Order: sequence, then structure tokens, then C-alpha cells
Amino acid sequence: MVLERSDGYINIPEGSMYPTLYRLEDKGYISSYKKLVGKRMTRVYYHLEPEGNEYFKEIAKEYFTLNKHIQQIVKFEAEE
Amino acid sequence: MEDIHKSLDNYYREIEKNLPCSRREKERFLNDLKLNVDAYLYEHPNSDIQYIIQHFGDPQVLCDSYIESMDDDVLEKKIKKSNYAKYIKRIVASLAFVILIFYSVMFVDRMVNKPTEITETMEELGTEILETK
Repeated sequence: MVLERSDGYINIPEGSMYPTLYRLEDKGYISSYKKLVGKRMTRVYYHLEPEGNEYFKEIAKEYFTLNKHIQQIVKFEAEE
Repeated sequence: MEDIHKSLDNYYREIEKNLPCSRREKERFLNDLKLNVDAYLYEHPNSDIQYIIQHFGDPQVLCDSYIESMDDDVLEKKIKKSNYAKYIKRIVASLAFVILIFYSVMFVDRMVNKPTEITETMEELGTEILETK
């Protein structure tokens, strides 16, 4: 999904997501459960909790503010 | 099929070796990874180990991502612990060095002083013999 949404620019291997998912789960931002799909395939499903949604909004806002200011700096540098 | 299982065992072993976390966290990580690799192989039965590594990440990438995902305070604690371990190792090494030097000096001293003791004993013997004569 990340690869698709970033037009093939950002590739995050699945295994490197686990540590982040564990941290989010430990903090109660997401929850997970395992479900047997088919005869011998188990899938792990993650659910975004309300606290996680709040946290996401907060860090997304932080990111956009930071990004805006970085762009202003880069633009200023480029104009000079 | 046997080949991919052998390669997967090596892959898991390499990850286990590289992950900078407790045994409990390693188990949690490896259990989830194995579960998802099995599901991936079930959906893509013709995949080889290269596809698996490309999809799930190579051991070094996984290790790096583990460090990146750590909270600053956890990372700081780990660094402090590592520095403390280095400090203890240095003290132990210094003590071992001092003990080695001490025993070396003792050994050399014993070797140097031994003939003198014999000479003294011989001299004493000589005096005693002369006195008895």
C-alpha cells in the first residue's frame, strides 16, 4: 500500500513495521488479533483505537507544520 | 521446498543474532515474522528466499528499523547500560593487569633471590664446618 501510494518511491519492508507496531500497541494506540484464514493460514489484523486516532492527528499536524517551515527555509535558500 | 525451509532457518537465525532487544521481544518479533512468512508462502507458493527477503526486509534492515523505532528514553537507557558495561570491563581488565604484574614481579623476585639464599646457606654451612674443626 505504501509503495502504491508513493508511486513506487517509498518501499517499507513488512518486517521493519513490526517494532513500530509493537510500540503503538504497547501504548494502546492500536490493538491486534490473530485470525485463522483458510486451513492453515493465520493473519494478524490491526485496529486503530480512538487514542491512536488522536495521536495520529497530533503527529500529522506536527509533521505538516514542520514540513511547511522546512519548505520556507529551502525556498528562501533557493531564491538567494 | 526443503531448500527454502533451510534458507528460512538461516534467515531467522541471522535476524535473531542481530536484533538489539531482550529475548522476550525477539520471540515476539520472530513469532509474528514466521506467521506472516507462512501466510505469504501460502499465497505465493512459488516464492524463493530472495522474494521473502525483499518483502520482509533483510536482517540488517530489520535491525536498523528496530533501533529507529525505539523511544529516545529507551535508547538512552540502552546506551548508558552499554557504557556502564564498558566501564566495568575496563576496571576488570585493569585489575587483571595489575594482578598479572604483581605475580610477575613476585616470580622474578623469587627467581633472583633463590641463588642468594643458597649461597648464604652454603656460607653458613662453611662457617659451621670451620667452627667444628
